[in-house]
Amino acid sequence: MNPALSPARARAALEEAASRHEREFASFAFRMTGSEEAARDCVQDAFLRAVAAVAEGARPENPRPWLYRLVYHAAVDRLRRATVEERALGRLAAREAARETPSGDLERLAGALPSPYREIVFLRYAGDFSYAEMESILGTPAGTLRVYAARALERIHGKLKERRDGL
Amino acid sequence: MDCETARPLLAESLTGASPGDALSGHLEGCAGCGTRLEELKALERRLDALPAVLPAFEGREIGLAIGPARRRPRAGLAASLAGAAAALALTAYVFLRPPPGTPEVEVRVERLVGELAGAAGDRRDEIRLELLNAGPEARPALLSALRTAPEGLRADLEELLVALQAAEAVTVTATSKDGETVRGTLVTTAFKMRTSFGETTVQVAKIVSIEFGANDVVTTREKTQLKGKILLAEFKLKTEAGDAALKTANLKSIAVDGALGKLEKGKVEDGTAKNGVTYHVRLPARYDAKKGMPAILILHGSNMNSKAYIDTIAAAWPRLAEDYVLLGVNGEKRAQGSPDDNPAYNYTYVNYAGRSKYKGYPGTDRESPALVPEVLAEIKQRANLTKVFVGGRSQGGFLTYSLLMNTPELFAGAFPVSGGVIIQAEPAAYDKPEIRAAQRKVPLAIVHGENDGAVGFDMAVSAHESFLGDGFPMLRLFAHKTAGHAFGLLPVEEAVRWLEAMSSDDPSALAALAEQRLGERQYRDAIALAERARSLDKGGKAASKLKAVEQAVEKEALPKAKALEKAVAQASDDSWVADFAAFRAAFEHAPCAKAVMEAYGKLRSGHEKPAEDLFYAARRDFQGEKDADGYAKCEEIVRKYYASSYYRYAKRWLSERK
Repeated sequence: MNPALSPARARAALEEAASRHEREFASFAFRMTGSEEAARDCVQDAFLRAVAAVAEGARPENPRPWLYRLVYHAAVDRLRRATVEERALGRLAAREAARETPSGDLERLAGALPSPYREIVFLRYAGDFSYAEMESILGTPAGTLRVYAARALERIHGKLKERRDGL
Repeated sequence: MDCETARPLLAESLTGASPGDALSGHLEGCAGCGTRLEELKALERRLDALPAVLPAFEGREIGLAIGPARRRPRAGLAASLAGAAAALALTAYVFLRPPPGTPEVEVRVERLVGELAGAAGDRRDEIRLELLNAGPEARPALLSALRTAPEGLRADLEELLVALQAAEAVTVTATSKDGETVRGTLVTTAFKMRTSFGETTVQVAKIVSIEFGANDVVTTREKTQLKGKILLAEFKLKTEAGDAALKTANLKSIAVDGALGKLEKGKVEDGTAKNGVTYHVRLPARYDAKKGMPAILILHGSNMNSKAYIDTIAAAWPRLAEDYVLLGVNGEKRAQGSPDDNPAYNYTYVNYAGRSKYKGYPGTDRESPALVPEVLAEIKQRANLTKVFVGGRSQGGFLTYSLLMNTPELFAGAFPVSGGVIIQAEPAAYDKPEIRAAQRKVPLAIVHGENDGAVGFDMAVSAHESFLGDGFPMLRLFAHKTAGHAFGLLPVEEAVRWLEAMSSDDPSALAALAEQRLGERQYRDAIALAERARSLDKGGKAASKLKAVEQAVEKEALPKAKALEKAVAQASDDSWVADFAAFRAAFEHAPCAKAVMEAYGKLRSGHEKPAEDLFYAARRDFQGEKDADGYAKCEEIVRKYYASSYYRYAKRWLSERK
C-alpha cells in the first residue's frame, strides 16, 4: 500500500484486498481452529483490527501477508481462550472436513501437526508464501521457519510411510 | 557422511534450512537416502496442491463487515427461522426449534462420549439413547471421537455409528390424529418402549411402523409386533420446511418409507397388508420416489382380482399406466374354488354404515370400506403417492361410492364404473357438515355403458341424479352409447383425465380449462373449475381470466334464474320442474342461482315429508299387489309434492307403468 495514500483510499485498498482474499483467510483460520463459525469470527476480528490500524495511519506494503498475520493472531487468541475440549473438537472437525477435499489425506495429516508446524505447512504450500513473508506473519525468524518446515515435512512423510508399511 | 547424519538434512535441503551440497557426496552412494529425498520432493509437490481456499468456503461470501462492527445474523439460525415460519404455516402441531448448531452438537457428543466411558447399566443405555437422538450432525463428531477413543469404548461407538448410518437413509411419514401428514428424515433415531417384558430400545431404522394408541404398537421388519408404551414425548424430524418436533401425544402413526420392500417399476408387485387383505402395485417407468406420483386405485368386480384390472388398464389405456401408479386392492373374501395361481375375491359393503346416519350391525364396520383405506395407508409406506383416484367396476363400483362417501379425504377423485349406490352411500345418508363438505370436494365421474345387462344403466342415471340433487359441484356422467358391462370398452381414460383436470393444483391450468368448458357450454364444470382456481390462485395470476368466466356464466344464468325464481314463487304444479332440473345441473353453484336454489329448498322442505309418507305407502301398495292404489299415490306426489326428492321416483314409476 502506498504510504502516501489518503485514509479513504487506504481504506478502499484494504477493502479490495479483503474481499479478494477473504475466503483464503477464512480457510486458514478454519485450518487453525477447526470451526467454520470460529473461522468467520477470526476473519471478522482481523478485519476490524485492520480497519482500525489503517485509520491510525498504517499503510502495509503488502496487504495479503499483513492480513494473514492479523488472522493468525486472531486464531491464536481464540485457541488460547478455548478450553482444552474445544481445541480438541476443533482439530477433530478440521480433520473431518478434510475428508471432503481432493487432497484430503494431506490436509488431515497437516492439520494434525502441532503448532507452528501446521501453520507453516499451510502458509508455505497452500498460501504460497516465501519464508520472509511467513516471518512477517508468524513473527518467527525465516531461518527457524525453514528448519520447522523441514521437520513438518519429515513428520508427514513419516505418517505416510507408517501407513504404507501396513500399520 | 553416514545415513544418520544425512537423514535430517534431506528435508532441510528442500526447505533451505541447510545447504544441499553437503549431501551430494552421500547421496551418490546411498540409494536409501536418495529414495527418501525423492519421496520428500514428491510430498512437497503434493503439498503444493493444497488449496488456498477450502471447498467449504469456496464461492461463499464470508460477509465481512468492515467499518463499524455490525452483527451478522448467523446463517444457520436465519435459515432455521425461515424454515420455522414455513413449517408453522404448514401445520399447527409442529413446533420448530432452531437446529442444534454444529459446535454445540460436537461439544455435546464429546461430553456424552466422555460420560459413556465411565457409565454402567441404565445410565449407559440413557447416554447411548441420547447419542442416537442427537441428530445427524452428531455422526461426524462421533466418528472423530471414535478415532481417539480408548479401546474399551470403541465397540460401543462403532455400534452407535452403524445405527446412525442406518438411520440416515430412513424417511418416515408421520400422521397426526387429525390426519395431517409430515414427511422427513430422522433426528430421533431410537426410542425406549415399555412392554410387558420390560423396557427395550427400538431403532426406527429397524421397524416398519408405529401406531400410537392406548397401547402403542410397533411393527418390526420381521413383522413381529411390540405392544406397550413408547417413552418419548417428541418425535423429531428434519423436513423440507425445517426441523420439526412432533408431540407423540398428537400422533396417530409413523410409517417408515420403503420398509415393506422395494417396488420394481413396470411390474405388478403383490403384497399382503397387516389386515390380511392382498394388493397389487404397479409403478410406471417414470416413477420417482422423491417426487411421488398420482395413483389410480382400482377395485375389481365380483369373483375377480385387482391384478387383472391393473393388467387391463396397462393394456387398454397405456398412457394411464405411464402417468399413474396403479394400485389394486382385493376383496377380503376369497371366492371358493378359485385357483391359487389366479385367486378371485369379493368385497363386502352392503351392510357397511360408516359415517352415514345409519347404524351398522355389529361386525359390519370391518367390511371392505374399512379395510381398503388401511391397505392404502400401507401402500403409501411403499410408494410416494401425491394423490389417489379411486375407481372400480361393478362390485368395485358400488364399493367406490362407499369409499368416496365414508373416506372422502383420502381421494382426489372417484370413478365408479358399471356400478350403483347402496342406500348408506347415498348423499342424503350423511348429515354431518364436515363430511358433507369433504365429499363435495371430490370430483365424481360416473362411468357406465348404456347396454349394460348386468348392472343397468338406470343405476348410473339414478346415481347421477341423486348426487346432482344433493349439490355435488364436480359431477359428470360418462356414458357409452353401445358398450355393455365390459370394462375395457368404457370411457375410463376419459373419466380419469377429467378427474385429473378437475383436481389440478395449478390455478392457471384450472382457469384455462374453465374457459374451455365455458366454450363447450359445460357450465357446471366451468363454475367448479373457476371456484377451485380462485381458491388456489394466491398470486392472483389467473384473476382476470376467472373474472371473465364468472361474468360469462352469470350472463347466461341470470335471466334463467330470474324466470325460475318467479316460477318457484308462483308454483302450483310441476310445469317448471324440468326446466329447473336443467338449470340446476348447469348453474346450481353460480352466484346468481342462490335465490332460486333457496326458494326451491324452502318449497322442498314443505313437500318432503308428505311425499315420503305417500312414497312408502305406495311401495306397500305395490308389494301388496294393489298397483292402482300405488300409482294413484305416485300421481299425487307428482301433482302436489313436485319439489320433493320423491318426485323423480314417482315420475319414473308412472312412466314405467304397464
